[in-house]
Amino acid sequence: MIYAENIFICLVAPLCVALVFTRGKTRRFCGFFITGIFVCLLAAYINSYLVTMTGYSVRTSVICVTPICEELMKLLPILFYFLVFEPDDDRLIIAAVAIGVGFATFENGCYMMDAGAADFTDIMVRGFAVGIMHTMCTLAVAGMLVLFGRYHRLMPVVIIGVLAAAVTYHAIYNMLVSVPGAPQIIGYILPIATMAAALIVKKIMALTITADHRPDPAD
Amino acid sequence: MRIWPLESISNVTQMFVALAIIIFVWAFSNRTKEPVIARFFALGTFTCFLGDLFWSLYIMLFGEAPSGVSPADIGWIGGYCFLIGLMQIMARGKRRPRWLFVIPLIVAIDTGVWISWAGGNVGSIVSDVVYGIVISVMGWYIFANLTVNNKVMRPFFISAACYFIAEIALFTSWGDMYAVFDFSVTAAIIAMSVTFMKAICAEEVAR
Repeated sequence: MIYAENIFICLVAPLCVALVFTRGKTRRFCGFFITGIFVCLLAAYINSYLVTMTGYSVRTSVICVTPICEELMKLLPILFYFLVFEPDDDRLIIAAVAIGVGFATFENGCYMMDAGAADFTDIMVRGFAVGIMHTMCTLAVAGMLVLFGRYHRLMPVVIIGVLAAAVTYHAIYNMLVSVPGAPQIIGYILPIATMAAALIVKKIMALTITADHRPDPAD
Repeated sequence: MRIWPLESISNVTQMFVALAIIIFVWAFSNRTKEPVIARFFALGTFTCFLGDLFWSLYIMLFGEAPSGVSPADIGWIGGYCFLIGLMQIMARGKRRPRWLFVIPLIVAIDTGVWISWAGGNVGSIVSDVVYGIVISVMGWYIFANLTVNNKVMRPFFISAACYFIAEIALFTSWGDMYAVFDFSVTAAIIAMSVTFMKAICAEEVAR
């Protein structure tokens, strides 16, 4: 039994103090970080309810139910911010990162309370893997909204499509780490490999854009 | 759920083909007249790829297919959504013939057949209904575009129609025939990506 609400209060209280004393970008980051923690708590409640209701085994619920619930919960605040406040691209990306990191922080906190924090390697590997996985998923959602934001008519299908991609990716990670041995190791490497691939693609795209806009020496 | 060996082979083949298409489309997107639309297509294929990857890994790790609604289904439905978005952009402002209602009707009848095979499993029925809705919308847009006289995009719409028909046949088959139709879907995906890239290299499609 984990007292998730107590962990929530313990983590959020200092961040609420930080909200009072900060301004601008820092305050916004803190706000979205708290939002990430809060949606993780809500997702935990909904997951517990769904597991009881569906009667699925632990393995099936971790692979099939949890990713849907968690990704949907992370999408909602990003979508709300995007649709209501119409932020610029940078603000949306920062909000997505903060929500993902907040979500992963709370999940890691609950995991440590449940499984203990004695094994340093296990904690470090899990900390990085979960942290990167949740952040990558929310970043991907925000990235798609930025990329296709100008096609307003496409928004409903983009949102469903991106949510589907995030859910499936999350489910693949959960499935791999739930099987001990080589699949678990691959599972822990997957988010790091995805992040590396995303950074390479970003770098290549930036280089391509720079090359396209370079003035012709003949001019 | 029983898995036929050919079924796994067809699924893995489709997964690698999808991966190759993603790399191909993304790499050449800047050479087209519609880089954003090309990336949209690549993302749709990527979502399908994730569905295939989940399905293959699940079978490999647990020796059975996931029952009811699985994340693989969500990935494939997400892929259809991207294709619907693409077709929606191209169908804007075009006349839509009345006979198009036949497409959702056929899919609805087919969905009824799938539901009758679900054996009362609520998860499978929900999955079948969602697939039915998404596939009928996709089919409606594909044939709406096909009726318009656009020489450049026509090969893409024809291959998309083949994809639609192969998907319908896939959902209504089992055993080795399922694997055969899965290979047909893979072939249609290849045809779609090639014709799509050729078309958007020639003209702008977004309106």
